[in-house]
Amino acid sequence: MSELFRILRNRKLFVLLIVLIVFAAIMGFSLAQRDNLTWPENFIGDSVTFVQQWFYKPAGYLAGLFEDIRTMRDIYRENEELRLTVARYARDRVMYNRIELENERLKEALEFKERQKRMFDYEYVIAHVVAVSPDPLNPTFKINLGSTDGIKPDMAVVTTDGLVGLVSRVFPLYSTVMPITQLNSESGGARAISATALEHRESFGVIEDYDAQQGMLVMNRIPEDDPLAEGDVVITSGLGGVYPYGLVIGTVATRQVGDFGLTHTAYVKPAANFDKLAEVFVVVPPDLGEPPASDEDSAENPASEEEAP
Amino acid sequence: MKTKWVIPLTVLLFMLETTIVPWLIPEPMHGRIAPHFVFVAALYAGLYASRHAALLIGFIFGLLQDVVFYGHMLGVHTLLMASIAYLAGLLLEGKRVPMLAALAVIALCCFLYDAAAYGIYRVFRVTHEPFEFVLMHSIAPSLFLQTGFALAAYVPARRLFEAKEKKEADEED
Repeated sequence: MSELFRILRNRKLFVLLIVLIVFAAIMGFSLAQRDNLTWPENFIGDSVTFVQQWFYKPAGYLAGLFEDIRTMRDIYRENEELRLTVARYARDRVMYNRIELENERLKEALEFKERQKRMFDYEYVIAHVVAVSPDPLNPTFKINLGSTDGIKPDMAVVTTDGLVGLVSRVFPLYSTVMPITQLNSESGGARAISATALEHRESFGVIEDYDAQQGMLVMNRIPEDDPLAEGDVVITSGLGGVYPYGLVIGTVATRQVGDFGLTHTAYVKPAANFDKLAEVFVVVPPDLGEPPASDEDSAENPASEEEAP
Repeated sequence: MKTKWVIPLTVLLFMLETTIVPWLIPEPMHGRIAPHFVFVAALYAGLYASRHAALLIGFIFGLLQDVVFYGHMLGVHTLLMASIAYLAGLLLEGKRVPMLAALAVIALCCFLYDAAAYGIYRVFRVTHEPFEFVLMHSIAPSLFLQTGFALAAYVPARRLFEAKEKKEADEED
């Protein structure tokens, strides 16, 4: 014991020890889910990002210009493909209008409550990416929407290709987005996205991990008799009520028996590109207020019936 | 005279590494090469100015990076940038470090920084990749970028920081 005190009498060592303890405490504390940040964090975060946005966008434009010249040839091919897509869209639009009208009528007939009707009215808010983190183990990026724009932690962020990430921390004017490549079932505040397939609506799985070595998302807890097959497009199922319904996540690359042999695990290739992002969309769910928990269940049931084909 | 340029130039480096450099990294290397220009600047401050300047630059800009890109947790970069830059200053401050030795020290410190950051994230269960994978996937390629930047910045950095020291020495005389 006296040995220990003699070591601690060395002032520098003592300071070092205190610093290490303080930092360990800060790290542990800041790891948790926090809805509101303190004012120094807000001030530093927002003022620095305010300056960063002057650099990121012009750099993006310049890089995009060179990219365009290089990919001139591809653009013709892409144009052809887009024309085909537009033709298909025009055809589907007619069908969609008819189905939407019918859906409205049926909801009226079944006496849906106002809250149930608005459940899937997601708002896609466009946001510009203003800075990218230089840490490969914490690869967040910043978007120019914050709590004053109604952004909350854990909102889904998508590009035109598919789901890119989840809002991580919200500052007043900007927020940080954590890419879905950071999903980790072992971490303390683990996020899991319940998923289903576009082709097989009855299939179910939970995306809660990312395998960086293969560059694939890991979809766990798939029932053995599930029809999910390779090449299926995986979308969010909206079950659990945290993440919206119907966002494209990726395509199934392989499916195999899971770790414990009871369920299956599928590897999903992400649809979105995480590199050189310029514009993303934040999916804002409709503001439904905060109903009691029992009300939530009754709201869920007719909706899931309606989803089933 | 030149001391007042240190902070604005480091701010510029911070802006560069968080906004423009990501656009320049080719797509196959996305998520693998990470610029630590500010950390290199802090190391130069430790080698050629004083360990306190290194501590200050490391602390301020580590804190900026932590708060601005607050994803998993706060404090990792503040602690590592400040402590490693201070350590480099403590060991080599005042010694006339030649260029190759300076580059070797910077490369070593960058490796230490990335490895320690990985260690902290691993302890807090933020990442679960094995170290061998992270070493080959991101730490090794980033090391080349850092060393390249250190080489490019050697002459201006030495001029900037040593001028400051010389001026102080003159004042003492």
